[in-house]
Amino acid sequence: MHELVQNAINGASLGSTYALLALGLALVYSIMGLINFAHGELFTIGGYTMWWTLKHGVPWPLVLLLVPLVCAVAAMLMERIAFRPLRGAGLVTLLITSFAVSYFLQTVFQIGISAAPEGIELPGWVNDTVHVGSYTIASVKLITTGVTLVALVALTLFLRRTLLGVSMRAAAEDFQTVRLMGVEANRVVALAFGLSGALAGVAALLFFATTAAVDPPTGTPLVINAFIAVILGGLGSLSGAVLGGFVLGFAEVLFEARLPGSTAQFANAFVLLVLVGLLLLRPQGLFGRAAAQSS
Amino acid sequence: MRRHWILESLGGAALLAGALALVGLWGWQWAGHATETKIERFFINVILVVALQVFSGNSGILSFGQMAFVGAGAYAASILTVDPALKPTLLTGLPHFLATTHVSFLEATLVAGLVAAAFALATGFAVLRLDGASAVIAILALLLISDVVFGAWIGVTNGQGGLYAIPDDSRLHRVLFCAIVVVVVARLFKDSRTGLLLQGSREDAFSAASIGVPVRAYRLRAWVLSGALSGIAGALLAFWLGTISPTNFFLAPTFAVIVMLIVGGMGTVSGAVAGAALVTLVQDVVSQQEDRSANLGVLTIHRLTGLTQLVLVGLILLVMYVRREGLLGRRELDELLRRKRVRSGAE
Repeated sequence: MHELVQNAINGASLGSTYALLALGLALVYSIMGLINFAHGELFTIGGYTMWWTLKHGVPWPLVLLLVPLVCAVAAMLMERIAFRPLRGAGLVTLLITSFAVSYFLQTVFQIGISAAPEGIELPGWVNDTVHVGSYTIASVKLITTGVTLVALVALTLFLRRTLLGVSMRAAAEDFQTVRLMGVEANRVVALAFGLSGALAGVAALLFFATTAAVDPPTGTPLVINAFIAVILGGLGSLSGAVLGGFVLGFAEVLFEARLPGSTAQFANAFVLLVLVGLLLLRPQGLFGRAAAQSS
Repeated sequence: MRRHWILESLGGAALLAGALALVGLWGWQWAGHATETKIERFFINVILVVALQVFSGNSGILSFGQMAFVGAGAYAASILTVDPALKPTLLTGLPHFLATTHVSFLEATLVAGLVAAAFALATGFAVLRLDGASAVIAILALLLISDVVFGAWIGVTNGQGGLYAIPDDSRLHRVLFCAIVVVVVARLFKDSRTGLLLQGSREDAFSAASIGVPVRAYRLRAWVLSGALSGIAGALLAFWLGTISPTNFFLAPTFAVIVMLIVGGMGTVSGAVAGAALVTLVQDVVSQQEDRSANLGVLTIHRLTGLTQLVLVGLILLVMYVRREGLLGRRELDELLRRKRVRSGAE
């Protein structure tokens, strides 16, 4: 029982990172049809922003604001420079471009910063623990889950209650129709990128608060996992992406805890294998609507 | 026209094979040892790109998972050919029959192809049930899974430490021969019934399915063939490198091969070969510049590491923005030449 609770907390914490990344990916995919590989580099940019600001003595409350902001700006720049000229292009074209952008940014990090990991000087309170009954819980994990929930609630309110939010949800359903109804395409797309960047920034804050080191390829495996979370939840479904992220987080922690001895290193492979297997049974994802299939 | 398709395909493939053979001849007769090694690498690149073209070009699904099969082939071939005296210390997790065997170059390469084909068959059932973006992501997951396995299965792959002392068996004539075989196979597949119907489904999967094309089954055929050829490429790559580790089969080589395919044109075998030639050449020229230092007036950069990657990115973005179907577009080299002749004959 004790172990189960600990695992659940770890799962919620890791799942939060995946959920935030997956949500950002799903937002952009549903509007533009873009599988954005470079999302992982937005996350990494968040990590480097944390490293640089904390190293230069910026107070941490300000860092908490700065990181999502920098990521959001980076995401919007990415859209403006790399993806806007290709608006309306096919899946493969967008895919290759985003892969190239991702590769480009990693090379820039390598040349401009370092290929080796940079340690992030976290404030001391990050290592605090809370005692609840017989449980010892790293407070950062509680904060992580809490922050994620707050971010999700705020985003939901934005998407449901504001005009811009509603037009974004509509654009995710049918971009053409929304444009015909007079919603400015560039604004919606830029906003989607900005939001996805901010979410990647929050994910970075939470992730690097426990990992404390960042190197150029950090984001890649995480974002591939987040992709899996997105299709697990059902491509195009925003709430599905969040649920998929948490499922993935819990599954990974569970596998890591339960696999015997040396096989624990294979945890990520097992998780992906199981999830791809799940997709075999439900190609539309766990929460997706059954889409038309080619035979 | 369909009656003579085999002859026409072979003719087209012969054109490419002839070009490759000329490069090989030059490398064998006139080039120095260093250039010969580079030409061997070029032929291996041709095999890698053409193998990817077999699946991605015909089905229209861009695969980021090819290196999983290349890796499987490379590790299979290496395990079979590493000096048995080294195996007890290097690879502790091998079953007995593998720990004692030592096979020839040809056997190892063929086994590598078979292992990769079996791996492709097993995974193809799962990932090819998905369509569009989901398929792309599931295939990418495959790459991540294989990377974890190559890195963590230490008893068999020696993990991140890498497998070394692989015999230097990728001789020029051997890789040239393999490249020609692969080009011929790929062209025949492309012009075969399966290939043509698959290309039809690439343009419009719903229409193809509605006239009774078993799209999934045909995708699986292309996937397995592509896997087998990739496995062979992996074996040759391992023999060429002499030392392999998981990074040889992860994102950087995936990107390089995709750049070659996209730059040349994904739709044709000629495009794949042309892309491999162009990008290999560019890589070679640029990587020689990497050791130099650049003086940008105020700023001096001492080693231009990463320059090759940046040039690759630039190349692919240029193609994406300017010429999305690649250098050669939709026609094979022989088709382009024939069209030109017909046109000039009509005048």
